[in-house]
Amino acid sequence: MDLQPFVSDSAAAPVLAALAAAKWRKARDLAKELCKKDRTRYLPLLIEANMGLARELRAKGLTQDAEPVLAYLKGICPVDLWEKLNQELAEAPRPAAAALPGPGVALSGNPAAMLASVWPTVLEAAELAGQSIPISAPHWAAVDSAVGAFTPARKGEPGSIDARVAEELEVIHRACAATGDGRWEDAQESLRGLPRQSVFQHWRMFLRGVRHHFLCETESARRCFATLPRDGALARAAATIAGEAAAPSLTKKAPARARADWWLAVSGQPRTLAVPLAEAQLAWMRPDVRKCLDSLQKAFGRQFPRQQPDLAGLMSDVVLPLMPSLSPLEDKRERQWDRVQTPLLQTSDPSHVLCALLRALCLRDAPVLSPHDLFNNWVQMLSFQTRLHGPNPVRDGIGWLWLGEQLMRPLAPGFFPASDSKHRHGTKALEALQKATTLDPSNQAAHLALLRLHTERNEVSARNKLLDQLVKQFPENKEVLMQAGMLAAERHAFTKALQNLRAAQALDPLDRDVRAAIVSVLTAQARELTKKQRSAEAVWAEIDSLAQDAPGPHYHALARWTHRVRRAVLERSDALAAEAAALVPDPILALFFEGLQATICRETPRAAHAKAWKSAIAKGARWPVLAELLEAVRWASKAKPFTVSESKIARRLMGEALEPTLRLRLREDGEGLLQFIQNTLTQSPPGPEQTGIWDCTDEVQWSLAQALSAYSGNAKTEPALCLGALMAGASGVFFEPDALFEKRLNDVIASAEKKGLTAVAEAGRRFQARMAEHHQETEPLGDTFGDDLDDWEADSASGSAADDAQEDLTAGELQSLPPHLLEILLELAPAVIRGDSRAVDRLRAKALKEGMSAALFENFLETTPRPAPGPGAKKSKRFPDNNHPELDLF
Amino acid sequence: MNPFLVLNLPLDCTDEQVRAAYHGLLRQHTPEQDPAGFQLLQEAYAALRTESDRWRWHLLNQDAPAESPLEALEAFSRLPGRARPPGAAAFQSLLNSCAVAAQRDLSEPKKN
Repeated sequence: MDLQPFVSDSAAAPVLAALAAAKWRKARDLAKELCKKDRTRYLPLLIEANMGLARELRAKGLTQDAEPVLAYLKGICPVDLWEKLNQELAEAPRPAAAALPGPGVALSGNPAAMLASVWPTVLEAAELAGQSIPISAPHWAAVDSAVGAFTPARKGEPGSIDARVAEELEVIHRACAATGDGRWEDAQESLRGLPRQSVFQHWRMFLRGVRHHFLCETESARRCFATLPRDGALARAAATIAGEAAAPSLTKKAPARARADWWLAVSGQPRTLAVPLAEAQLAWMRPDVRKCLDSLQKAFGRQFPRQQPDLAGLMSDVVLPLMPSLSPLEDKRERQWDRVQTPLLQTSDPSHVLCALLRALCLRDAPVLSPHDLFNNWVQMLSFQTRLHGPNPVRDGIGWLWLGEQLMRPLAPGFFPASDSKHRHGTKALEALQKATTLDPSNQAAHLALLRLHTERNEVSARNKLLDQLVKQFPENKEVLMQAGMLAAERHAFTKALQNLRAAQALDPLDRDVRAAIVSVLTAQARELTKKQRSAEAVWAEIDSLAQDAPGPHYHALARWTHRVRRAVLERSDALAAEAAALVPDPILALFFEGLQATICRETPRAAHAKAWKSAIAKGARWPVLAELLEAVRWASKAKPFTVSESKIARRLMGEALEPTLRLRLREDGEGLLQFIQNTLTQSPPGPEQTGIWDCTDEVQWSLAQALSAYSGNAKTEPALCLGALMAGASGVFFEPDALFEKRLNDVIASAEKKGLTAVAEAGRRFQARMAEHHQETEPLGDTFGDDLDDWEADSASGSAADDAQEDLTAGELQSLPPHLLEILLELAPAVIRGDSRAVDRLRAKALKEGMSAALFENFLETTPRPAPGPGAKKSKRFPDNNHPELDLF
Repeated sequence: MNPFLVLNLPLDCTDEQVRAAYHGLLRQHTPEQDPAGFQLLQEAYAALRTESDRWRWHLLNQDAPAESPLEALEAFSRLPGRARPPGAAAFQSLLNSCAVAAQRDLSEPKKN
């Protein structure tokens, strides 16, 4: 209906504004009031309001609510208009789509009303612009709304301002149509007719920006869009087009259907996808995964979900659970996934669905799936890949390599380094990596992974053979050359070792690892030369030059010094000791290092060493010094993996330094203790090859836990020590804080705050946050705890083939157990991890009574990973037997 | 984002096709005029350069392209070489929506 007659009627202005903003009920009520005064004049407004309301209700699928509105309209509408409306509503969309408001209904309001409501303001703005007077934000909004209505304005008398502005509006409409269609020259031609002082001038810049955007000149587009009035309609449109996240745009506020329409139009995709995609969006956000998948299947047919580079593949990547859920909404979706898989298989191509689902499952759950399930699912996924994309050795090689790498990984590290598992399943990893190298012999990464696995499984002969083959096959692979260099160094073939390492360095001169390896080999060579009574000064000089920016340069210097000390004549020892004191922050570190290096070099320490060491630790043992000692072990065991005996010596020395520290500093320096625990024991655990630091940390943990156990309940009197006890006790991969633990921690923090020990309170809060974070990280592991005995069996893998065979035997035995015995074992595992010896004894008695063999019970007990002890735990041996014989490679 | 979609290539494309698609798009998305698009092209090319790179991505990628279907559609339409003029009707519809939204913001400032 023509609403132009109401433009100059101030009484009708609120109705026009409500109509323009699609506020139909408000417009109807206001129009009714006006009709009471002058029904003949204001009836068109009442009809427009009711028509808008009827359309909206029908579009939302509220047919019953629309009925009385339509009945009322029938009584007041002219016949031709009523018929037109009836016809329009009869062609309404399908019921499913009806739930989604179309862009026309939901967004635009009534275009005629929109134009009529803003026209006076537009004229006012045009006058101001003609006089070069700045115009305000409401004026800009009115101008943009006048254009956005896309309704021709009624032209007034020729020469009047009405006529001029209406003509300019027409120009802008023509330019918009041309720009929308990509007819850039037509758009430019249309805009030529726009006067310089037109109130629509900013539209010229906007349309220019749009042209730049679609011609991929985003920087030019950005510059054009930057000139638009902020928060106006054009800035909003520009943000939508250019994807400016910071600006308000269509993206977040508009209904799903409008967004789908726009993005499909921009990407040149069929507009028929708009309804199902909008439905999928709404279902996804509820969340209703089943409905979302149904809608996407409506859009893409049976080929959804699938892994293809197209829109259907992209949507599959969005909805498939590829990553662990991070929010409650994602949790809900993940739970629903379990229920939708079977119907999905019935309605889609099963090969595509299974391939996509298995891939997602394995990638996401690889750390928590049992080795058996991971292996089977991944192999099945690879067979689907072959079925869908044809055979391809390169692809399969990559797939097998990934599987091998997953199976050779240790279990996720815990809060403290307490897990002793090495590979999840060494034999299966070996099988996968051998398959990968056979399928694609050019896959260097697969060969290197196999080499690493042989090394870690102590398969020296297989490793050496493979390494020789790799050096010939890949003479320009840095990793291969490094491995070959280190192997030659182990065999004391230093010249060959340095030759390989220098070749590796030539390939990547900036690699610090290669440089550190060269330093390590040179150090060994210098030692060898000194042993043979030959001059090693040139080698040491080279080490000095290389070690400048290598990790731990003062350790290199220290190594050199300790070597000299052992070789020195007696009269020079004082001078050398002074030199050492200048090198390191504490003499205890120098003496510790000397003892350690004597062990590594298989030499007897100098006679005065033991006395000096004892005297130094008795006087100067402090928490920071202990941290230094641990750091030295970390460095030394990284430079050269420790043997069992080296590890034992390091552990003994660490224990000797710890004893006076505990005796003298425990109560005196509580804050230092907490800092020590935080900085050393809660750091990322070392790799499994670093037995030395592993053992030393273990020693410290045991001793600390024992010493602190007496203070675990003293939250009020000794908050620092009580917190230390809690921290030292909260170790192990599967440690889960219970209510008592959390209460104690809260008490400690409160007590520390009350006593004004801010550092202690802060340490407690950091620990609390860390525990919460750790608990969250390990939750999936905890969920599967006890569900799959294969995991337990695999956790205890020692790496050798014999042990793998033992693992399989144990798993077989466990699986053949009757359910009531299995339940006992499932109860046993957490008890072992808690360190609850009473529960273990009770369960042992129960299991034996129920008929389980003692051997099987003990076997299970041994293969269950143990955490470091909690407060009060008893330590059976000071130096437990070496549990890592496979690590003694060198 | 899926590098195959960025370069608009099928799964079984060859090294040559990858190179040609990359260079073709590079002409339109120069670092001066479209730095984001250029960066995306670089990443996609690096991910698909060799056959093993392509299969590795195909088998092992875990990145969800967006958090919801429509966000993925938006990201898809923003890929280099994908965006095209939407047609007069869709363009008018967008402008109309934005005009209404701007008017609403102006009349209800407290809500925003």
